[in-house]
Amino acid sequence: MTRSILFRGLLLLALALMAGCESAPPQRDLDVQRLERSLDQLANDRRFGQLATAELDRARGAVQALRISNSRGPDALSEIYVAERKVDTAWAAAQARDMENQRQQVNQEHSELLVRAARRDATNARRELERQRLLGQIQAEESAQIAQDAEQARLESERSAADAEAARNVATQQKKIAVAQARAAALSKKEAELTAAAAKSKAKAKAKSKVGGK
Amino acid sequence: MPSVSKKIHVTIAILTGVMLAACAPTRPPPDLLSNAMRSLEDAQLAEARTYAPLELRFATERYEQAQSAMNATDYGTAARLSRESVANSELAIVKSRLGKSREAVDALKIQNEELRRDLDSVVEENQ
Repeated sequence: MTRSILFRGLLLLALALMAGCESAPPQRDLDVQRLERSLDQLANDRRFGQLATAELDRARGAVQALRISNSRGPDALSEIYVAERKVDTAWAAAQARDMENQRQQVNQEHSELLVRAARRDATNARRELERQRLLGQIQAEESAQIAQDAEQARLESERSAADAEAARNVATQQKKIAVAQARAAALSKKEAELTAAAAKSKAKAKAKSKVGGK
Repeated sequence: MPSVSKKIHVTIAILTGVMLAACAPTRPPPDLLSNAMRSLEDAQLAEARTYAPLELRFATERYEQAQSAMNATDYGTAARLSRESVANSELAIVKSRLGKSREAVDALKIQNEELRRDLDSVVEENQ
């Protein structure tokens, strides 16, 4: 009787141990399938598929370990949690590499645009220099013209002054001539008067002598 | 009969011993917590506070819980939480890298757009 009870006890113990070693619960299978689908989706993605192969392999390893794991309770939940994080890490790593590629591309564009801008600035600087040079040339020419005009004006002014002086001299001379001519005329007139007076007195004297001779 | 009973008792005692040994707390690898701490530091250096705050918070919380479990000699829990902390830190580091790259790309795109607009406007002026 005692023996039978003991055998039953052992049988129950063995069954309990076997129950502990039974296959993974269905929930874990669902998680494994979900994670594997996510990894397959990443691996087959045209854009991200080849960008994070190392992380993808690590995540696959974690999911594979989860598939064959016999853990239960908190350990099982923890394994699922870690595997999920690794799958997320694989996706994030692929996106990060893709973003790095974009960054290089945009950086390349940026460099090209900077080169274009630098060329544009250099061209503008050359144009400005040429403009300033032409402006300087024009200003120099204008200054030379102004100086020439001023010299011309000065010469004209000198010439006018000389002409005025000459005119003044001529006028003075003419005035002197006129005075001299007037004086000469006066003298001539006076001479004529004297001559007439002399002739008159001579005739008077002659007449007197004629009267005396008779 | 007594000898059979004795054998059965011995067998039960051995089995019980094996089961108790299996349930005893296992000490985690000595570098498990330090791994978690290093990963956490790396995540902070990667500016996860800005680019992956949620993952950094999870990693920090799990690391602190792992430390508490370690102090309570609950090594199994400490090991489990350490692994979870490391997984979150690694995710935070990668997400920070992604965030920084995205930020740089966005900034460069804006600069490129401004440069392009500037160059185009000059071309139009010259025309």
